[in-house]
Amino acid sequence: MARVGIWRMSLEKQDNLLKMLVLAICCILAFSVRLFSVLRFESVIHEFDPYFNYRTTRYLAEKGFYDFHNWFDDTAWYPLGRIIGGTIYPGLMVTAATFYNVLHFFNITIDIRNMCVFLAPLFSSFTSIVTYHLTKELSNSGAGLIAAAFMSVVPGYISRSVAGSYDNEGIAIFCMLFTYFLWIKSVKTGSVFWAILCSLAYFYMVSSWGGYVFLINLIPIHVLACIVTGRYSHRIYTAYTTVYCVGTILSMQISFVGFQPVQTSEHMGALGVFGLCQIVSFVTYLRSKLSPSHFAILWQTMLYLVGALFVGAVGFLTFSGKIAPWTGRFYSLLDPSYAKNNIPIIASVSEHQPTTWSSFYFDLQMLVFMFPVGLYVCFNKLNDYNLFIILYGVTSMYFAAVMVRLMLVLAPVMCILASIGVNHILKTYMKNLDNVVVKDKKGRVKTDNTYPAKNEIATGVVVMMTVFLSLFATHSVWVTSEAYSSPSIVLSARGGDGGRIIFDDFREAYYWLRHNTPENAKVMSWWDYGYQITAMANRTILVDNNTWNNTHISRVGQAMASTEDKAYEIMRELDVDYVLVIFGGLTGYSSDDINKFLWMVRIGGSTDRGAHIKEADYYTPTGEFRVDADGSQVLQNCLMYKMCYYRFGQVYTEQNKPTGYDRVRNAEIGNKDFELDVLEEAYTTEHWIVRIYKVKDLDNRGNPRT
Amino acid sequence: MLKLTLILLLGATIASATLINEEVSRVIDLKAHLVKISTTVTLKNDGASSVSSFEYSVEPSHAKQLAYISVSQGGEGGESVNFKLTQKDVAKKLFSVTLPKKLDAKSSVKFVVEEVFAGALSPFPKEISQSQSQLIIYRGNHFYYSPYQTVSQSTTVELPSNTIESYSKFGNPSKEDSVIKYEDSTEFENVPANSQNAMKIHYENNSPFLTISKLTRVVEVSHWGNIAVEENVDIRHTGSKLKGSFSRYDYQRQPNSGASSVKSFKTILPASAADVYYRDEIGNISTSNLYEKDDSVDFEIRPRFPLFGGWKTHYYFGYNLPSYNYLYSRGDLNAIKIRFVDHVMDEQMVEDFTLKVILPEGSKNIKVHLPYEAKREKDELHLTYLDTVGRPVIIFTKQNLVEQHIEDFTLTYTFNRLLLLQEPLLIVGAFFLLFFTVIIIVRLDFSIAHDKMSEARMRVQGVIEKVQSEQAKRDGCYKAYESAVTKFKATKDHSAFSQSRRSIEKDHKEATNSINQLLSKLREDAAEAAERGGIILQPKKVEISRLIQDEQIKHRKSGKRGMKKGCTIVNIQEAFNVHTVDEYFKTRINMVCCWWKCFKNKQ
Repeated sequence: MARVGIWRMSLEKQDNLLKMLVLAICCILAFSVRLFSVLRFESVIHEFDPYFNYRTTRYLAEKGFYDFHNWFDDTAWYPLGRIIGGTIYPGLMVTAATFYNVLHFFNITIDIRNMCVFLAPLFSSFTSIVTYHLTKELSNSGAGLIAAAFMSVVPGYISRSVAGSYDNEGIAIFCMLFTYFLWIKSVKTGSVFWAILCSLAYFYMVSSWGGYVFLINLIPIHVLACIVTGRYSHRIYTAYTTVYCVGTILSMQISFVGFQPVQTSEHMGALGVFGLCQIVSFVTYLRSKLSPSHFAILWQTMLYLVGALFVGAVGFLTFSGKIAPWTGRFYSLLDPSYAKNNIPIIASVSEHQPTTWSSFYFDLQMLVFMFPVGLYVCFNKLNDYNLFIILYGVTSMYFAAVMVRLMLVLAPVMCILASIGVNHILKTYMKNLDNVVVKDKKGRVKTDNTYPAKNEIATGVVVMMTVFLSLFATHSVWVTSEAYSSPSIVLSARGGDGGRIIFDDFREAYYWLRHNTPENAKVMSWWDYGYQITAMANRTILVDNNTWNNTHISRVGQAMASTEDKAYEIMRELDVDYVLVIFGGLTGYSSDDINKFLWMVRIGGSTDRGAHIKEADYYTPTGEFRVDADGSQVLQNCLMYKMCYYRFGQVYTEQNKPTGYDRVRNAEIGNKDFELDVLEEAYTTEHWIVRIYKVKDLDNRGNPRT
Repeated sequence: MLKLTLILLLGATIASATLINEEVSRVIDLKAHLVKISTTVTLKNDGASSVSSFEYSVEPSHAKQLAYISVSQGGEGGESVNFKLTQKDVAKKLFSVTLPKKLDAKSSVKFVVEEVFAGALSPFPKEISQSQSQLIIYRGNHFYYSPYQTVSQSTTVELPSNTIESYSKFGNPSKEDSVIKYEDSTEFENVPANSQNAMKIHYENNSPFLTISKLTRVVEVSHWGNIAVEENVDIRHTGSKLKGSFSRYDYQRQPNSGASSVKSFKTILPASAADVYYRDEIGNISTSNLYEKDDSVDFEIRPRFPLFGGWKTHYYFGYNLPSYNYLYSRGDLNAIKIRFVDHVMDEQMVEDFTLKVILPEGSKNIKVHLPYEAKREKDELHLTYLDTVGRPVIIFTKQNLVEQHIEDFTLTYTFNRLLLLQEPLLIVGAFFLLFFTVIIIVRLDFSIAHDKMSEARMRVQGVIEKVQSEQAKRDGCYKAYESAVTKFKATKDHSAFSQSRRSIEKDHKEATNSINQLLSKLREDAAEAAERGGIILQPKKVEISRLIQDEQIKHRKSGKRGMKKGCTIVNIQEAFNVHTVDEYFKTRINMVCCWWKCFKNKQ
């Protein structure tokens, strides 16, 4: 009564206000916790892929959608080029450019870079709202609020969505959860309206991330599980057939996806379940019309016939090439060792490595052990949509264990299931808290013999949960600030006097390239730096992070792994003007090109033209990879080694150590005194992290300079 | 033809016959990448009549490179007076100089000519390696170039270092450290007009040969107290180009390696500059330092990479200035007085300069007073945060500016002060519109179908709210009653007590009556709603049971209180208690019964 008196609000309104308040706080938290890198460094795009996205977004904002769609980029993959419009998921760029244009229409002249930097935090806020709604549909609004709070700070998601991490995943998680929410809605209502909305959300998802394949497999699995467990209903039939038909047609409008949804094996599950739905409905219909014995005969005949036809058709289509063969990335999902054994370029990416146990705890903390609680609660009162979240949890758990980057897909379901668990526990015990103490006539407290210390236990559990939850928040913020907020383009280190030293060598080198090389200069570097060079240095590069042409990358790998004269031939063949390498030996920056060099050797040796490059040659006879005097001679005379260590042999890096002491490998380099014949040092950054070499022209007589 | 020669001859005789350079001393400063010539001339009027102006012609070989010229008088002790220059021949850079007062016959005047030439020095060799020093050739004139005869003259050439490869030996010059003097020789006496003799000096010059190829200065004026300045700079090293490789090792270890390269330079900002930033297309440049001094802010700019010959870079920096230092206003008339071009580096040379002044939205009657000529481009409009029609942008361009061009310009305009309110009002309006829309959407029913259930529900909700307010009134009655009782206990004033009791009971009765009315109304409504298909009372059910619980607890408490007090005035208190408790439960239970019925009906 008193509250009503003060606020003049009914309980319902208070409830709404409270929910909105909590959600608003979640949104603000989700946005602000991701700003560490902006506050510590600056509003800058991070890492590698985001630079490409940023560059294309700028192009889209400047030139409009049609130019963007028809864009042939001749500054990448020289001399092949790349059709940008047909080889990307444009959702991210279109989203950012739309925001940008709308804001500019209202004269809010925000810089396109800032738009890109802050897009991921913005979408994280949206994600926590969507998580609330999804969980509310699955359980209740209490769990929804907890899930929204979890979602706003869970490190597994933050790792891909800090300010500046302008990548597909930033908005894709939002799209994915939104699609799930609408899917649950349409399963619940069985209405075409929700199903259409769901397929629109699915279209947005397809346009923004390749991970949509997970989604288009999960929904059919859910339908299949419903069929198998006897939960199949007309509602599910309506929902699925609508979503599948409309969604597939819409998804084929993305030119990068094209006809894949009806051709490749990843999408066949959805098609199969779609067919199965029709059959099941038909069979149910027949069963209601025929007598049981007649039905049994018909059933068996049809089963064999259809089975044989189906296997035959699939086999025929696969062999005739209509159905694309199982791609490598998919195999590596099912069999973690597949990629490592067969496709070096996939295995070379660190985020394609299997997840370790510690990183589960690091990224999810208390969610790891609240997840089974949530699963238990869901199983306890199983229904159509709880079944969905269980399936989502279990499958994504498996995929996350296969590949580190799929932790991202696991994080939301962890949040949802853990919140259901936490909500259940709190709800159970909170009730016991305001247990009115009943006194008997003599003034003694009556105790319930069947449940002693009810109040105390409840208090204990609630306090424990509070501690866990606050620890989770602390941990998340700590992880965000320590592990996920470095832009990686600017490095920082603690100096001897405790001050902060900034290594801005990457931008120094890229900016030098941008202003002091001819505009049509071709730069050769390992593919990791391709996107950054095109975006920041604005120069043509040979290979980049869109690793679509294995042989081309292999050719670059061969040049890096060969001796100078062999490499010169390759570089002349590829028209290379400048070569760029990353070298951490002076500063101790460990992800440099020498540490990546074995991948170059492997990828270089994986094609026919590089058959002479054998990984074993680069090891010592005992099978070690060493850069010091004991290391292999082949290694010490290859181009990469020479470019990294050119004149490094004269440098003192640490006290009490000889010259040329590599601080990453902790070794004195073996080949100290050499000159370069075919290259000359064009630029080396202040801390030697980036070294750029110019390829010498042929001499006056047209002979190579070796 | 004859006529023409005659006129020419005549002209020449008039010019040369009347004026003579009595004494000329030139100082040629070659220390930096600019050539600065300061000439002190004593001009004598040898003719019969007084003259009011004379001609001055820039040396033909450098005419194109002239960046700045001024002719002034005195300086020693008194104020220096600048002479007025009018250009007679643009290509040849022939000037006519107006004397402040007429020069009488046989008298003389002493003045100083300051000239700055940009690009007059050429590196030789054109390309050097990293370890070499930069060598420069200066080609000039041994004589003072003048349309008049020069009686005596001396030339001093100042160089940055002792290292001189070669210099022309005309007139047997003396060399002392880094100074070469051409004087005291018969060759330099009575030199006829317009005579030239090639001077060539080849010497070492490692000073920064930086040229600002493009500078765009944007001054954004706000009447909210701030002036934002941003400068966009394109810099090029115009010295000897770097040949071969750049070795970072040598650059870090060898002290004389890359002597001609530029690591950093200093930009001097106004003393009140704040929020300084330094960026380029790819982000913040972290290599810079800021030193705040009494009369300026020194901004040490270090480009991302050292600039060697032929290398270039681009950056921009900006800062905020408080407007009270630069913006003056009287009524609606405003004047802004700020530098036309500001300091970017010492010995600066700007090839292409653009100044953009962004005035507040709604500024009119713009007038400009420039210290020197500059081309005014077409005005533009600038649209940014909270703008509606756009801010006027005044644009000027000028070529070849040097340090001497750092001067203030004034721009006046009228600006209605009321327009200052436009921006806050826009924000207020936008928020108002937003909230208003939300109110409209929430309060009004836009559904096409008539939803009776929710209507009934809303009606019930309204009635319940009324009941609640009546109940609050009744609560007040009880409290008043209690306080009256306490008062009675203290004063034992029976009449006052019964009087207040009567009034309280009256109020209480009114409240109870209205509650009963409302309840009966509610009952009707509910019945109607139930007939029409029922009301969803589920959320209400929870609320009501909560209410009842609250009431129970309250009653238990007040009942207990009443018992204690009841020791003294049992009869009143008990009557009160019974009455109230009874009343409460009756009404409450009534309500609940009614809703339950509806709810059940619905189900």
